[in-house]
Amino acid sequence: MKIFKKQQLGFTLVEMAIVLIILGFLLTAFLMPLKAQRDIAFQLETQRALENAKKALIGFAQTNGRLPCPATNNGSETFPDDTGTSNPNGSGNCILQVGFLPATTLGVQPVDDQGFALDAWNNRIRYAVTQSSFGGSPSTADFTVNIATDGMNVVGIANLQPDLSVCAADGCTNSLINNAVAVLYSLGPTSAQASGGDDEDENLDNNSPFVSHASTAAGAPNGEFDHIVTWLSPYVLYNAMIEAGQLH
Amino acid sequence: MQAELVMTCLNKTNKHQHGAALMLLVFILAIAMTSYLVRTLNSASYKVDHEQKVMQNLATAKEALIAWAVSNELHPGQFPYPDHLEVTTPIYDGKGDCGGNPLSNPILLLGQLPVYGSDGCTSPVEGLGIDAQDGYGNRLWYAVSPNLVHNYAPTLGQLSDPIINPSIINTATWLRVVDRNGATISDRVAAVIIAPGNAIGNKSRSNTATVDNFLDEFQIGATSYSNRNYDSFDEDFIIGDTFERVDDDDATYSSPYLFNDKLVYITIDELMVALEKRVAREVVSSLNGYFSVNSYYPYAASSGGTVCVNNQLLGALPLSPCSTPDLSTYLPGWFEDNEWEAFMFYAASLNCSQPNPGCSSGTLKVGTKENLNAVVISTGAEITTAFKVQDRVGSGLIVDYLDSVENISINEEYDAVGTPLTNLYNDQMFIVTP
Repeated sequence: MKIFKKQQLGFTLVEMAIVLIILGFLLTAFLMPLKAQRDIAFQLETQRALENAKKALIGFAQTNGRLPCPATNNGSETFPDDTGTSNPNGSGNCILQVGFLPATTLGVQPVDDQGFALDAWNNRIRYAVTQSSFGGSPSTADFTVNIATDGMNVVGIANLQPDLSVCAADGCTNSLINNAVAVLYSLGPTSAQASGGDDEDENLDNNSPFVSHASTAAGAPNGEFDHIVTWLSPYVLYNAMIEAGQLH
Repeated sequence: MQAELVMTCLNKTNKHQHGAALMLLVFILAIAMTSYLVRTLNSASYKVDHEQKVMQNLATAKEALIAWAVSNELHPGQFPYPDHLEVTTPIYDGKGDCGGNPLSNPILLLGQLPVYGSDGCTSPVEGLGIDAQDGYGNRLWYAVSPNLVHNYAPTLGQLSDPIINPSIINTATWLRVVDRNGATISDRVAAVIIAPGNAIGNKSRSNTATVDNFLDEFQIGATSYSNRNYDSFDEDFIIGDTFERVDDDDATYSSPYLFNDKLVYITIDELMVALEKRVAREVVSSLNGYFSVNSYYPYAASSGGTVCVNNQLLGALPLSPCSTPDLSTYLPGWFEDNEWEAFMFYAASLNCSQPNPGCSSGTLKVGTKENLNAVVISTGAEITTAFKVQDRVGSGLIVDYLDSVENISINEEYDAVGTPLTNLYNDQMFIVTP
């Protein structure tokens, strides 16, 4: 009788275990979509930030007749500076072909306390711009100057030859574009970690080509990849500049 | 005795339970319901996001396609060939496949959007420079009018490169876009871009899948409407309802209704407005090149002509010399090949003409901008409406080219740059200098 009484005072361990397991399943089912949704939201926010940056670049080119150089960061707070400002070398060529999006110059948000544009994971957005030169002054990049002797409007559509490449994988057997004017990219959620493999290496070596494809896990042939990459088509830029009277 | 004991135990059990098990059950049920709701809402919101993304991608593709055609280096206005299944290795490689005679075989001009480049095409060989997809991993599809592409196998009397200028707006036959009822939305369509959507019905999207496995069709009575065909210059393409929004017993359609294509289109009118800007910019650049060599702007030709007339300060572009050298050597080759001279009006200030080299101060006025040296007006196509009829054949009258009182009056004043275009006004002003 004593035993019977004790059994009725609460749940058995087995009952509790079953309930906890069910609870676990339910919570997982509830939280997983939330996490996935959060990840997707961050991805979308970053894609939107990159699209906005692209529009800002086009707007800048329509107003100024050229594209800005990347912002650079040397930690010195002197020129080239740490303020998210475009950094040409004085003659129109860029100090670095690959750097950060010059958010201060373009007026885009959000930025960090040094003025560099940020993605959804609060990492700086990267930016590369073509430095090709096929008209006007031979030593000056056509796309980042607008002077009497050189610049896109001086060279003209027929002679402009942007040269940035974006490929589907390291090695570039499949080129997504080989005449991009500018490439914008986020290093994704694992920005703080070391490169995930060959494909991510391509986007970190500060030169063209770049790599863009869907995210892959660490076991993929070229390693983990979670960069988000977009680029500026020359035709879209040209048409926008024709509209604005900055190109013939 | 035993029954008493059981009752006592039950009573005691009831006292000690306090409904905890019930509360736990309710809690579990609440979590389950919340989880279900979140999933359902997620799914609905995903669908909306997805549709938005598809339309955004179609808009991006449209922008890129117009931009590609307008900035075409050697043949402004020409469009790329679509990507077809490769012959040796049957895949869609993302590159435009050129060849054949699209005038006799328009189906050559229906395929996937050439995003990466081209095979066997004349310059430019580059793709659109975008990688727009429909959200289900399918590349976008694309069809273009034969009036706007290079002909790789012209027969006698046909041109390799079609003449592209504003005259073709009114004289050529264009594609049609129809709505869900088969009614025409536009019959002035230069190109369409189609997102094929998810594979529905018995479609199979392997690498080697043909157009039938991507694009859809439906039937209203005995008439079939299809995005898969391209048989004639005025072929129709459909902006229809997706199958999810059409009931099984919808009386309009023959069952089953399996349609989920999404389509955007480019009219020849919107293409030409953009193209005229490119051409006018080239003319402005050529006039500036002329000025930098000669220190003055050339005399104009009479409206409708090309031969320069001494002391004439407004009219057509001078492609043959008078006392001033002609302008043609400064213009790109495609300009005269496409007969653009018939669509450009030009005026120079007396202060910037041959007797006054150096051009100290121009006297032209465009809108509120004064002291201008020279202006170019892209005249657009002839306007033929119930309210206004222009006939440029053999006409030297400015009124047949320009569209406002201000522009046709023989003085030095013209409408402002960016004056809105209407169906009775299609002049676009461009300032040469300063």
